[in-house]
Amino acid sequence: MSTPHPDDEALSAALDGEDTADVAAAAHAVTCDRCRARLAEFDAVRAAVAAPVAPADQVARARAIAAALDVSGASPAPGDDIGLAPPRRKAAAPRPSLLAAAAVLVALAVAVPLLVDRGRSSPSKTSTAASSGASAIDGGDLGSQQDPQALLAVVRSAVNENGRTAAGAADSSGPFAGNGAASTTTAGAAAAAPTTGTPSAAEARTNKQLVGTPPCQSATRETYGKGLGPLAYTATLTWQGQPAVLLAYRLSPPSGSFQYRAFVVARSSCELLTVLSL
Amino acid sequence: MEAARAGDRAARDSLLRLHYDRVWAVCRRLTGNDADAADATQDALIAIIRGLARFDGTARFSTWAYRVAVNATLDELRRRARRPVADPDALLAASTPVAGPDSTTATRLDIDAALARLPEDFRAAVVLRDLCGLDYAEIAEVLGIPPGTVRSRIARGRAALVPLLRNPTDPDDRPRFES
Repeated sequence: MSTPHPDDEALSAALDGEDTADVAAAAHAVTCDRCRARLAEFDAVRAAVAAPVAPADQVARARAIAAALDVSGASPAPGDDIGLAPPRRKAAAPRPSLLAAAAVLVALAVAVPLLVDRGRSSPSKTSTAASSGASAIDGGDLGSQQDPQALLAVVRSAVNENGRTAAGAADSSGPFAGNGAASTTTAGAAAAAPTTGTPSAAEARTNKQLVGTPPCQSATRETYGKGLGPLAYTATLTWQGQPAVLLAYRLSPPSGSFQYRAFVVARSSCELLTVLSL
Repeated sequence: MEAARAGDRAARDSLLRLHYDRVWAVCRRLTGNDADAADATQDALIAIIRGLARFDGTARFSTWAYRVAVNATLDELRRRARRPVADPDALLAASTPVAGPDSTTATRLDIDAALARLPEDFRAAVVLRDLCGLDYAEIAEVLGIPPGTVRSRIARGRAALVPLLRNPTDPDDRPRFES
């Protein structure tokens, strides 16, 4: 009489050497092709999950430790039990510890908008602002876009160009333009054309110094502001049929290999449509 | 440890540096991205310091730290869930670079994407077992669930990950979990 096949739970526990009752399952798996194959699949999953995690960058590490040490003087508040209770099953109201953490993060983040504002309001310091990424580029209208990778190429080209080129004075013809003198930086040839936009618009696209405030900037920064540095690039577009705005921020500090994060949000509601990291 | 509990800043700094990597690792694998992991890690470190006075030593400190990290991560994921977010698959496609010749990097990208499709409870159990190396009893303690439930969640989580890691883009292979 043959031994019945152990179920996934028994095989998984046997893989972990968790309890002696599964010795039979392990023994069966040794001789059963089907169970051996299943065990090999679980082992592959285990190896994938166990693959080393890339270390955090040193700036984020130092900042997190400093933030924790800075709040260490505060007395634990009632309910400040993030680590003392098992994970909560449902979303809970913000607790004092998280509010304290938020306060620290807010304190860290307040410098960022100031940098952006300073970059915009000091034309005499434009070159310095551009070299530090604090001077945003207005990419105009990117037309109709469908493909994240193509859009990623557009943004990458623009932010790279911004990093290489000392920005000039502002141009008044962009979609968010106010009163300013004309000056442009042209996107590199590597920028991908809009998938359904007019060829002439794609070929002639120029990036201008941003003047004014693009739609949804406040909402985007308010919602996703953690880790976002200055606005680097913005443009209007039609994303998968929906009028949208693209806002690309320099990450501060960089997140792994990513230097920028770009949000595509609906122009009318500021709802997030997609996000790109580059 | 006693000095850290007593408020000695240097001792606390050493304690955080000692445990930072393990906290970061669990936060990073559970969130699947650097930005949320950084936020969760910072929240966890703050919670560790603020909870030190009440850490009674009945559990290993590392187990307790994992509990803090999991809690902080789940809170971060819930905050993220309350934001307007587009289709996660679209976000993934947009933000995931093409895998390079480095197979380790490719594996990490794949496992992040696959884990993101698991319900949080299953993801946490699998990560605590396979990345952190906790046994079922420790995972039960961290998650506050019976060991039998840990065993079940790990098995079901792994079973769901098998097709995702084999062919992560096949919609027919996406895991389906009954409540």
